[in-house]
Amino acid sequence: MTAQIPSYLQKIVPGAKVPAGLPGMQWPWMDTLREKALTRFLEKGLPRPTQEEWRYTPLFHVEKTAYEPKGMEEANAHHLVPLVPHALARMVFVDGRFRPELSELKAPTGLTLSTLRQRMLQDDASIRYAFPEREEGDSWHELNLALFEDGPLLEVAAEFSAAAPIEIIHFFSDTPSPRTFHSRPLIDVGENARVTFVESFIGTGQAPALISSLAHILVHKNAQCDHVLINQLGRQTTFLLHEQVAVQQDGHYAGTLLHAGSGITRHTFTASMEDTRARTTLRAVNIAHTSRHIDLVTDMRHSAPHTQSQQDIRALAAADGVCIFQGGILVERAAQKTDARQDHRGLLLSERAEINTKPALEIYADDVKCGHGTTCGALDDNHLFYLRSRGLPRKDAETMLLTAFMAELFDALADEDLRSLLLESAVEACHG
Amino acid sequence: MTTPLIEIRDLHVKVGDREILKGITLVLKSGEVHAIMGPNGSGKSTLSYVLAGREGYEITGGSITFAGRDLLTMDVEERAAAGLFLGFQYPVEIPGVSTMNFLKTCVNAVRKARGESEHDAVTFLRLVREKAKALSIDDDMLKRSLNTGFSGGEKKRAEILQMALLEPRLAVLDETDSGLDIDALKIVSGGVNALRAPSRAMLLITHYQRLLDYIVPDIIHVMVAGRIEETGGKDLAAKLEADGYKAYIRAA
Repeated sequence: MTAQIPSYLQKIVPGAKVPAGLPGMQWPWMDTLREKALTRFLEKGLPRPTQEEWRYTPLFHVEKTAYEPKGMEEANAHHLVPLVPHALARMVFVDGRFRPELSELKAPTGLTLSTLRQRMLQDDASIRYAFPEREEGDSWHELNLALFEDGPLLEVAAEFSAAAPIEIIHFFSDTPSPRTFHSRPLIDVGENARVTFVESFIGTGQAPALISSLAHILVHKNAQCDHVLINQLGRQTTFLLHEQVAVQQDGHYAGTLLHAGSGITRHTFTASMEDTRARTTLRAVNIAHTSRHIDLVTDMRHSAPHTQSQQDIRALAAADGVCIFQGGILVERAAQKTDARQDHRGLLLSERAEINTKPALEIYADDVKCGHGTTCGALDDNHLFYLRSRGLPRKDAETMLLTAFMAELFDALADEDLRSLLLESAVEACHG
Repeated sequence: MTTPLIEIRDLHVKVGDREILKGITLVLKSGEVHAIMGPNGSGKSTLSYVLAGREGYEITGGSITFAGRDLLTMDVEERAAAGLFLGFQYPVEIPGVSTMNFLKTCVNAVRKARGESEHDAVTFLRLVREKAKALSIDDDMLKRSLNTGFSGGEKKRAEILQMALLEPRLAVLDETDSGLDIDALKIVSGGVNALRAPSRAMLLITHYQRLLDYIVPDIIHVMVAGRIEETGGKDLAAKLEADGYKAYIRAA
């Protein structure tokens, strides 16, 4: 039985079949996986606002867009400037396709950079673990599984310590018609390894785009993984992002997010701490200027003793921008001595701006430290007056206060250049 | 006969429904140090905020001329550029803004507004260190977030450092001595006295006479219930210390 194809996908999956040429098609199991995922997606459709977790973020506009399949020609991206010039290695994807000639792959031993497509071409089925029989979670995961074009695959060997960050750029070119792109990054950080990734999503286009990224990040025992994610996608882009992080014993995942792009952003962050003393830290600066909408959903899952999670969110909404934070913490009965905190601060820069927060704490263990807090306000008039009384023009005083509001979150990064990069990008985004 | 630096004429100010300043007239010439003394609620801080241009105060009568310009039509930052400095009674804490960065940005903003060239980082650092030394402010304090976690004394010293760097023509110091112990008071007063100059006027606002032992004013005004009830020389301070403000409180 052929599922009904909604109009927005008619040109992408004509005949309800997965398009040819996607990686892994030579493997029957991948072929079947994709087809089944597509069928399930076509039955379920995109998430709807009637679902509790999606009530703030309708996707009707996606259904009204007629996405076109990608052309074969490769977009010119030679003007692309890396955000991290001093990166140890760099992978560049343009419109979902890996571009080795724009990348810097000479990496020291212990760091393996490849792509899902490459691995599949090499007939390497060791990555099969990243492809479940069926996707749990949001229905769009199925669409991602059916249509994903590629994804960076980064493997950090045990004991490896990266002297500089590794950069991943997902660049989306200016296309004349609406496009849709799907990626599945896979990051594996070995035991005792230390590494920083800077992953950016950049788009300059004016045409609507639907971009999804479903990332799996595995942090092995006692490893330290710092992950900086920068969203500078175009205003007409709908960005669906899900990061699934698993942290093993004594491991630490520290994520720093800057959402300063895309028109509609839905970012779900899930961290599973199933071993003792696993830790997850998430710092996010979400900037929603004119008509932008950012919905950050987190799920910190503690199922082992002495695990820790920390969420620090700064949301800025200006003009008619909207920021939403749905902060989740789950502490299972076995997770005694868990320490899980959530702190959200919002800054409203105009009367029409909107910030919503919804903490969701589910705690089943009885010997834990869990807390959540949220504040929201406008720029402090006393602060503005003080700065202006020292000669700062109003706009500069506002910028100074906005910078102060966000800087603290980036201060935790050891790399000074990264701190500056993030702060400058953030301040720019505040001005719309 | 020199032109006054600032002329406040019959100033009436309301906050909400209440008239706080009921006809203040005050004239300062460059080089002079005036003090305004008065009990709590007399309107002293209101006057200082009105001079700096803070919102929330309704000017219902009178005028203020500063360096030949109508002060009341000037923006807060314009007044700073024109040379008006307010030392806050409660300096604002701004976490995330480093003291050094704040100082450099403000000084350069004021220099730019005055048509002067901006300092480069090296020159500025040298300048700050020079002036900070006299106020016992070390590099460590300069690296910290503005006023954040500073003791009362540190905050007031930081205010005087700002004053030293901004080189105002008129410095209005609002209760600069509040919350200070003797040692801090000596340092702060030393800093203020070092900035006395023929080209500069100062207006000290206080209700304790103690400060005026250290920063000796030329003229003292007594402000009670929104009016200046008496103006005299520096000896007025001792009289107030002895007799208090009772004599000035009018029958309701």
